[in-house]
Amino acid sequence: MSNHNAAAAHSHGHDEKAHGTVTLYMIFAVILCVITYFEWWIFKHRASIGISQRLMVITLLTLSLVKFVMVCGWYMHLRYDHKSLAKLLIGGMFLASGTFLALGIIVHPKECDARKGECFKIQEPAPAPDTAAPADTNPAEAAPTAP
Amino acid sequence: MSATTHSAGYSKTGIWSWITTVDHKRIGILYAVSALLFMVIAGIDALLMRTQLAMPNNDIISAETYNGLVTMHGTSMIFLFIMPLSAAFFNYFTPLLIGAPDVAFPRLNALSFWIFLFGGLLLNSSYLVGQVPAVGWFAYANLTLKQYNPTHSVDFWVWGIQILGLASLIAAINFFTTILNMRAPGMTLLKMPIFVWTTLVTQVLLILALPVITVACVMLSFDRAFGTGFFDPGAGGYVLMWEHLFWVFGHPEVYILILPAMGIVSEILATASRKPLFGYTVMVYSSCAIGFLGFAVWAHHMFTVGMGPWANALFSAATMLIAVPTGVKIFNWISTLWGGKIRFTTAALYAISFVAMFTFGGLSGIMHSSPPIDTQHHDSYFVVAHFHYVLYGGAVMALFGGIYYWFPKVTGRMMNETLGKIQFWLYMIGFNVTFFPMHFLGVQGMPRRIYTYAPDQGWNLWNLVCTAGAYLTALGAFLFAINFFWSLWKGKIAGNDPWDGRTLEWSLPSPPLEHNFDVIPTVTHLDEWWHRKYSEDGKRKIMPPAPKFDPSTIHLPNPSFWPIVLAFGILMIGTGFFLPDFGNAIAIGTSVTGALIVLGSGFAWAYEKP
Amino acid sequence: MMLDTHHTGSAGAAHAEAPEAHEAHAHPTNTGVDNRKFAMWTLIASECFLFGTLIGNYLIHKNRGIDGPKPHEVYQIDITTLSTFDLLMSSVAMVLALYYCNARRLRLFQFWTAVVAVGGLIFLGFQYFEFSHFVLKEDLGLSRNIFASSFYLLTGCHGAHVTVGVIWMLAILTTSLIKGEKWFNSTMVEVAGLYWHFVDVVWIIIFTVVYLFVYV
Repeated sequence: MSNHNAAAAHSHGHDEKAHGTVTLYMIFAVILCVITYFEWWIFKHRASIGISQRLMVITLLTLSLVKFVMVCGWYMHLRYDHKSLAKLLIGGMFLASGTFLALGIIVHPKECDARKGECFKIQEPAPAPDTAAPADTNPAEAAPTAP
Repeated sequence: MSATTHSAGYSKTGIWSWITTVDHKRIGILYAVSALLFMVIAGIDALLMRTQLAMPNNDIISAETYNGLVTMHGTSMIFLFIMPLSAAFFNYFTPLLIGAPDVAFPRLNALSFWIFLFGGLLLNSSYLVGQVPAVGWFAYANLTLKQYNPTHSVDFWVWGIQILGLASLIAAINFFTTILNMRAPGMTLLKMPIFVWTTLVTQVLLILALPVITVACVMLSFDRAFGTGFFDPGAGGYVLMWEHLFWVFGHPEVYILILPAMGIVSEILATASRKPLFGYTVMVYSSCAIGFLGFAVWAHHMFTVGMGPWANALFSAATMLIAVPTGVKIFNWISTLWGGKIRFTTAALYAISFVAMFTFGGLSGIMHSSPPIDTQHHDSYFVVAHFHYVLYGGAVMALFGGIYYWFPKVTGRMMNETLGKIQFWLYMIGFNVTFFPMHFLGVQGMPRRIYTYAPDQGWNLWNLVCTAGAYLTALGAFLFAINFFWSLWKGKIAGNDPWDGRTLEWSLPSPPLEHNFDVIPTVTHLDEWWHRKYSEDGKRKIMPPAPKFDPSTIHLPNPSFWPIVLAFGILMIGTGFFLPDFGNAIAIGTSVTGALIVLGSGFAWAYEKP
Repeated sequence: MMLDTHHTGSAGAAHAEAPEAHEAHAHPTNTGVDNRKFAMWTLIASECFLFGTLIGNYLIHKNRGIDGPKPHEVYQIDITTLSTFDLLMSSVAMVLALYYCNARRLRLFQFWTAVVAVGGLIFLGFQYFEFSHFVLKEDLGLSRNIFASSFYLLTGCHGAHVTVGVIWMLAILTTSLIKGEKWFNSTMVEVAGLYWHFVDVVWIIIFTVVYLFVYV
């Protein structure tokens, strides 16, 4: 009865581990490498391809999400495991993201330029010559204000 | 009758058996004893505070000492009394209630206890060196930074909390796994006893909330030790970040404090009324809702810091929302009692008083949920009244009820009911006399955390009354100690099932054997034990004889020495941060040695036979 | 029907059909997932909040340093991309190590476990290189400004997790080298793998949100 079910669960679990073959893992490895290279390339050449910052953020976040799902789903076997495990991960991530998104919104002040060091300072810094022209300028930045 | 189990080679008596125990029942007892001892210390803190405040312009205690007492009273009561006493109940009863032979990770369970004990000792050793943290139990930055608190007092707080948090996190992972993975066959989630459900939600809250305070404490200890500027606005840091991080943890923490108590109350009321808990499924969902929403309300502790109207409004709405599942529970408890053949045992009295007192506390709480009103309440004694009603009138009453309820199971003897009832009334009257007038004091404008007050404020009478109540409560505590020890020696023999209980622990001998269940039961009902005793129409059933089993099939985990050693290593790591005064080499050496001890004992643990 | 239970798995009826597949482990669990694996996923859920707090804190503070270097002045994205590759490849190696452990191929199991450990060490090497460059050449010590503190706290915490992972891998490798064919503890290797992959996943997030978003 329950013994048999347990045994069935065992052997079923054993089969599941064979879901990934070496070939599959290698293919995933290549894909992960390609995605990472692509991310680096987008960042490096963001000026010459003329991508807006918003689009770049969305693209990079999406690519990261793809890598995340690949590693969690297949390398960490979540795809094939008991649903409670996926719920644990997604639940944790959901609550964490929600909490810290809320915190970020509450804490982030609206009217100061963080890059100029205007936020949460006690006294005016002496006007420093290097704040106007940082060494590695970001040509995609047309507007000086934070998004 | 007792099985020859495979750990029979190890002694069951003596200090060594307690140091190396991995039996969840013994660990539960260790937690309970420690919690009650720490409660005495924290209670003495409170008595000193109340004595100082009994008269205006009093000078028994200096301002600095008073601040230390306030901090230690709060910190100890929360982290060293309520949480470990709740943990004692989780430890002892969770496996029994779900029909499991033990927790998922017995040695990890022992580790949690030893880490807790060392953390509590570290925190209290601040008394011994006269550097008691005096920054409130919430340790707001930037008072806690080195420039304002140059002694090690804050370090005691930070490292105490860090170490205690680690203990709770490890235990939470253990119990979460145990409850979800080791239930008896047939016990689906909705057939678990309600106490197991509230325990489960509590563990989830611990697992998710503790990392946040860990990060906050790391940031604070780095600010103090290495001069980083997380909470120093002069360095670009953000003072309020501490409040946010603390309360992101702190609000789930108060639900961590109250949910186990609610579970205990549910169990006691159902047993005392001889009726099933009213609306079990709704209670389960309410507990889950409270846990989930608990993460969405933290900034209601910060209505007055200036977050702006949007933040205030949203958190206010969420706070009001969380009152709904809580209120549902109150109605369900009342409905459980309604129409029952109630036996007013001491445990039942405590549980019933919880319902009333927690409602009071909830009413003042819902008042706070409105930011404009809270602006008046904040930092006044009205808030002190609120949280003592929910924590003392609520959680503590329920925990004491739990002690009276489960003492027979743990010790095999009943507690004295006459003494118990006297003691209950002393607590009840004393508690109300102490804390009800604090509502008035708050409305009259008395601020929190002041060590004395001027005689012309109009607060004199109520303060005196509060102090009188505090002494009455202390008398109750003293009587409890007498009852406790008397019952251990002279209490009536309890038998398996003195209360005609509903849940599986009452099917076992009192106290249970080390392996818990001779044969793991197959569960078919909620309140399984009740259904085995009584048929649907309330008639007593003939119980089949205990099934035969082969004792040699039961393997108990071996005792282990490594948990206490590993816990000591962790203590050493933290202690290193106190020692730079003696030279950096000593400080770093201590922490590194601690880390090596952790590593070494970890390996020994991994390779020993479990 | 009463179910009799074993605490540690000597061959009982439940395990008779697959005695060689799993080493002695606990009685059947309600979810069908081994306790240790379940506990590791629970730890991962908890660590979501740990790293969530650290990442959130970093994002809030990264541009709020009053003086001292700013992120875009010090990051070397090219090198960080290499370390990201390295960690990703060590994850691949981890999966292969588990595969060969299940397949009972001793030398391949040991080889790929060693690769994971080496990959982790290389990553730590990259981090050491980055940190020492920042401290010595860029005047970005731990307390230099709030950006520095937040950065080191986040990446340092991650690095500490990698270190624990490397120690774990080396322990697994050493045990296998000593015990040989008798020791294929798939569950333990799987649990270690989960930890390792999680550490990798956190780095995926950090790489994107901290480094690639340096101008955001």
